[in-house]
Amino acid sequence: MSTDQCPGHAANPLSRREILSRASNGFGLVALSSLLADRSYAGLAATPTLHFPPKIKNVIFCFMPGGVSHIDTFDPKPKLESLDGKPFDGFYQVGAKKETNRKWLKSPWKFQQHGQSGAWVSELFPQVAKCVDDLAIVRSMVSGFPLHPRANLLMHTGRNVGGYPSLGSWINYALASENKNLPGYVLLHAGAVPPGGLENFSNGFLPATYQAMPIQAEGKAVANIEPADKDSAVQRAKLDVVAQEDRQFLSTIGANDAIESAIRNYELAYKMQSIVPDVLSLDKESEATKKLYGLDATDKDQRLYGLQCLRARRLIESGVRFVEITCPEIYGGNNGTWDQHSELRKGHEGNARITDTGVAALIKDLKARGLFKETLIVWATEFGRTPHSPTKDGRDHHETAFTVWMAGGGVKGGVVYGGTDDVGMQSVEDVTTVHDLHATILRLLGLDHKKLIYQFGGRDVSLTDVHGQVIEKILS
Amino acid sequence: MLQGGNRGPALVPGDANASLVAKSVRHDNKDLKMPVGANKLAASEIAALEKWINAGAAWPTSTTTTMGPGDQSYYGKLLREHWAFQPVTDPSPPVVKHGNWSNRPMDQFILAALEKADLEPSPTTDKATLIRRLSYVLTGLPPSPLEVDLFARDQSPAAYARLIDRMLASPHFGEHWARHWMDVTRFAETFGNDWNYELLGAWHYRDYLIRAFNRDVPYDQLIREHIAGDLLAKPRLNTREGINESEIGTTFFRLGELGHDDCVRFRQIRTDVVDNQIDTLGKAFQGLTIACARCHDHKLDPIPTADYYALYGVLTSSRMVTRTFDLADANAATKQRLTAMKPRIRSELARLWKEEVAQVPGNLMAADRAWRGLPTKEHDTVGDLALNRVQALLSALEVPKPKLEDPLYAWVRAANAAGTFADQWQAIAANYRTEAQSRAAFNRANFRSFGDFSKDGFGGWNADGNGASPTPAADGEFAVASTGTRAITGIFPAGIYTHTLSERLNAAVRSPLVPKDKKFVSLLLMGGKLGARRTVLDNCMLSEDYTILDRDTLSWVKIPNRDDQPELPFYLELATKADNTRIPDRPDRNKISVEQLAAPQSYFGIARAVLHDVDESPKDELGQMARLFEGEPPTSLASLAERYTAIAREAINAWEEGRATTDDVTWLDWLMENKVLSNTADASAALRNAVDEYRAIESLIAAPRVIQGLADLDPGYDFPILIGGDASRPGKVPPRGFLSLINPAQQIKPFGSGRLEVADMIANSKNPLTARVMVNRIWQHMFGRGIVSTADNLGVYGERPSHPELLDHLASKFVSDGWSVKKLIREIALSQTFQQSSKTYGKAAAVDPLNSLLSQFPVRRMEAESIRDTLLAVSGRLDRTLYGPSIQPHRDEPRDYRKLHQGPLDGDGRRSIYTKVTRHEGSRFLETFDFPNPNIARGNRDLSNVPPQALALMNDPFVLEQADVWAARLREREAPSAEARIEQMFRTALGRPPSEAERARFSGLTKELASLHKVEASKILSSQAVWKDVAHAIFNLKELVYVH
Repeated sequence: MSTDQCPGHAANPLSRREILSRASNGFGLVALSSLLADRSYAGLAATPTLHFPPKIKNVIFCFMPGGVSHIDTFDPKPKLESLDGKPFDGFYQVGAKKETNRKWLKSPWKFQQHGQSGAWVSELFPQVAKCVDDLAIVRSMVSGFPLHPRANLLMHTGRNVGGYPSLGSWINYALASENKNLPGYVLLHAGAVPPGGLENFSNGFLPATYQAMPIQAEGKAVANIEPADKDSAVQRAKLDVVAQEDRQFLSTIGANDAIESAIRNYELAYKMQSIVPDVLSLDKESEATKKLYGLDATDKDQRLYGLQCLRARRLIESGVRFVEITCPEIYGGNNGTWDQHSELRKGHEGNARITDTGVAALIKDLKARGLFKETLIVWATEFGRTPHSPTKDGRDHHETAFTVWMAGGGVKGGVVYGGTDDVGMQSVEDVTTVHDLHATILRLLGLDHKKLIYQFGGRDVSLTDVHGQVIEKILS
Repeated sequence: MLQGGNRGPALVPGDANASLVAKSVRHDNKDLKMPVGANKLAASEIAALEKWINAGAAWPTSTTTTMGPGDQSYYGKLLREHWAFQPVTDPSPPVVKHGNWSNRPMDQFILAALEKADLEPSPTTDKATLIRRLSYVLTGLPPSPLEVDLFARDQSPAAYARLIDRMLASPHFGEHWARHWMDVTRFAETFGNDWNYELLGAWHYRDYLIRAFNRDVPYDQLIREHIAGDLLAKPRLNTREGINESEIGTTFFRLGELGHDDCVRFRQIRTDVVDNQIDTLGKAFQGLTIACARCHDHKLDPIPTADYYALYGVLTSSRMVTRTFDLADANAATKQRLTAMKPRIRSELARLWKEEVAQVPGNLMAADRAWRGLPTKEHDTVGDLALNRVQALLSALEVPKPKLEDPLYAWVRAANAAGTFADQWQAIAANYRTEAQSRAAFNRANFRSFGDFSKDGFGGWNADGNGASPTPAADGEFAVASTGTRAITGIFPAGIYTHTLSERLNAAVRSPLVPKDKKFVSLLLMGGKLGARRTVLDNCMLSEDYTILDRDTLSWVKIPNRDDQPELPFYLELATKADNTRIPDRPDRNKISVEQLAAPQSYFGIARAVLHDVDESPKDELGQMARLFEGEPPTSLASLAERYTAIAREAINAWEEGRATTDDVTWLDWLMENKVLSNTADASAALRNAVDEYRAIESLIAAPRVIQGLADLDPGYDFPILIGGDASRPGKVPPRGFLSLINPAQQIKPFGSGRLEVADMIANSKNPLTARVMVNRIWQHMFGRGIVSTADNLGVYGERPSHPELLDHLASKFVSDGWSVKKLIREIALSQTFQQSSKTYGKAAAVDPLNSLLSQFPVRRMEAESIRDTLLAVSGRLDRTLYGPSIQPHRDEPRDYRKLHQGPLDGDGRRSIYTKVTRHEGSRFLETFDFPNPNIARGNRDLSNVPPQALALMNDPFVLEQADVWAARLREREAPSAEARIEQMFRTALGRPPSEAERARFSGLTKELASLHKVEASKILSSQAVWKDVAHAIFNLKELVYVH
């Protein structure tokens, strides 16, 4: 056990100078009073520079909630062809008791090799298949629990219980936003929240500044960003008086960093009212780009997903560190988009159609703009689906084998890493945990998952707890 | 290392050659080379390791060492040296140079430290600032302009002390301080995780805290109630509310996150639940991170893993249950009236039945003739009522293949006699005798009693709730139908029936732990209106395994035992709706209508419980049929009809006289079910009146008050150390107990969990941590920062106290003042330190930038709740009602299926403490201002300072709405001029008049706004738009949201 992860070491307290140098304004930086209330920032102070040379600056996390079937997408299992319909006599438990009457179920979709690398992708993802030489496909993922909320929380926070900071929060805690006018962690969604709720995107016990800013695909994109005053002169008149009053108040108190920061926040907030809509607006995007992302699609959900992918690019261009895109809940009911216990064909096909173009467009567009090298795209789900089923058109939760892929800076393209057994039941080769995935993402950003710590409630807490090993073999 | 991992013990003390550690560093085995991924250790290093092992492998934190002062171990050193583990002393105040500043000991401690740093305290602040500061710190609300004026005018030296006393006596004091404590106890009202089930009754815990802080319940009592409120010899009874306050405290343990049904299959999840309880208990009361010892001995504090699992044993030995905290006499008067009415209904029914029973022979003969297709007799043609009865009996006779349990079986057989009636009767009697003997033998051989519901104590079953009586219902007890045409719902054999007085009375009945030596448990049950049976394995309280009962007569239900989980405690539970943690359920389970959910009725009954291996429930032993064959045998159907009549008459008599047996009850229920005896409320005017009157009284029964709590119903059981915290790797089993650092020689009683003993060890003046932790929390809420700045951690990794002697002085005073929170707050508020100006003077900023020496009163932003409450108070919308169910936060998008329902934008104008704390997604407005995530104890809130806070005050619809409300209210009042109105607004919002410059500034603003809104100068005063904007500007002032 490595001692630097478990409670143990007290880092140097911050000097006044350090505090003041950090107390300038904006996202990723918190008020002085908060800094001083807790020794927690000692961890940050001890790592003023990155642990490794960074390969990327930003992460786009394409989350596929509900559990994408690995054996129907990136992990072909020809043996299931011959087993199809034969009884599955292994152990499978849904509720309190073992379930019987299950049969092997082959994939309804055809697989083909693609690109120079010849990696296999099923016909569900024709567009992503064209980008296969840019992907590092990890086929040997395992998760702790075949339960949506716990597996979702694990994928996002490294814990299976609520209350812990999300990956995006950790990254911003470590790196802060490059753009002081925008939060560093943005959640792009279409109204659906995966099981586990907003807890998945929580800052946990990290300061509130590291929480995700949700942006909706439709309607009011961001809460409170639209000025309440239709006439900007009215708002300006009020804010001018407020600013004068506040400066006077500050002068009666004497020097006070918190109040000074709060005053400056108003100017920033005022600017954000126009900056955020600008970032989200597609007015300056060419028709070709819009088409690339499928914004001309007839399917509304595909259009909205493509819109969020394009917004993701615009956000990372503006310096947002971590952007997550979730799926609309069209086929999955309340448990996540990809949760096809029944109607597997319809559901997986529909979800693939909605997301394929947008995700592939991100890869192509980032490459065209030279952003691919400094960005990591992570395509992930919380677990896979069973190769056996009680029905002929559905699969259940499967935590012992599933696939994720990564693409972008610092990651090899056209690589298939790890593997499952010949029926997709179990990850057997280079078994990769969610903590390994997190450690790898942090490494690419120049962070050591063992050193990125925060002291909370008397102990050093990290994203990966005492676990996690960087997947060295896929790093370029 | 000694217990070993997957490969066995890593260390054999005294024998390096047998130790895996030594072998692995020597690379003896090609599969196990340590250290992984690094070069082999140098020979000298290996030799040192071997030497250490051979010398006995002394380990500084060995779990086998008993802790206590005087130990030579590392832990012993910590115990001797770490400040917080030393007994609390009562140091004398230090000598100060400027003795005239204050004669209060507290101030002298502060002043001495300032003088040592060559600093001076700040002057006393002005009265307007002081009252505002005090009001926020004590009640979380702004003072009204009148309060400010009165205080300013009161020149008496006692004015400030009086002000403190008045604010301490305000009911809003309890609201504000309860909320502080709720941060520590991770208060939430849904369980989060998967379906976000409702934490039923959680708001009662919030109200309990408000009452407790308002009544200044001693803190040690509060601790006892939190940890063992259900076990106290003298619980705190609130006769005004008719509740047991102490029991509510145990909700403390239940406020953590909880998922459904997965804790058995995934043991880790159950251990996570208990871990959260241990973590919260440790931080809340002891300022210790006990949960760090889950996987290994605590690295920094003297807490061995054995202590963690000793405490784990305590907590897991208690059941997590719903509890009714109504006092036993809840509804007493109503219940008494109902009880008094029942004999009237009983005797009227008996009177009617005795009349009806006289007609049984004739009716039965008539039904028989119809059944056999014989011609009817003249006197068969009687009134409609009799016709119905004959029809009913005919239906009973027409049952195809009647069973022996059917009283008319004998009739059917006798009527179809081939030989003589006498022979046939003899054969029937013999058949019954044989069958009864064989069934009794089968039952004796195959079933073991699991409870006795005819005796007090129910054979170990536990009954809780207003519908639960400590004594069983006797044979012949009955329930009056609360609605519908029936008079009664049935007559019951001895047992527990929650509805014998009213279906509005709730209950939960729980079995003892089920022995695992039998495959099944069978229960003789009834229930309806969302009454349910549940199974609970290993305290998985949101288990999927429950079934809604839907029968108002008893029948056997066979439940598989959980012998597949021999180690895990398993019990059965019957629960009315109010006691069922799974109701309201998620959308796709047990389609329950809104009406069913809202209805106040729910009930169940149980008469028997048995354990067995055979795959069927007990057989009816036919005892009730014996009376058919007693005495002279009948000689004809006519005489058999007389026999039936005699049996019925005797059963009615016995019932009327209160001496009915189980067999009488069986007969009566059959007679009613088959309409031989009428059971309609309209059967007579007297019955109608009695039933109506009963129902009217019954509707007065108050809804039960139920919380999630704990109960000790079982022998406690010790829990094994989980090696590395891994639930699949149990190790040694430490006896149940609390931290050895607090009490090295503790005794836990074998029965029960040991919570009471733990409570006594914590709520103890000798405990070095308890008083210090709470005093520090109170100090933190008064000054924004604790004497120890890490409020939840006074351990080795926590911050050192800025004023250790002051902390001890206050802690010992706190205890000697009877653990009174109010007295402590009063003491601190009265100090000169608290009354200082907040302005930064002189060199303090350079010497003490954190102001930890308190040379001025620290300025701080208000908590989220105070910001929201202030807007409501200033706008005039604040509804000061105390207590009650919570109000859902306003959401952009409600998600009803995850219990995230929509709430009003203004939260009904109630204080923020009444906004429902829903996991998954809480109030966005409050969370923007650092309302804490409710999963983990949080004694130190963040005070972040980010643009979204400015955006919220600039653009959030709630803020705009309140500006609108305030403007409308202002316009209702006469104001001579805009300036006068502005002055009024300043006084209301900031507790002070505007300066000349401010007057001019705001006057200018009104004019500018008027021009922008195109309002004529003469109409400014009546313009909603202008005053809404002025109000909105004031809402955005920093002065409004900072306490200074």
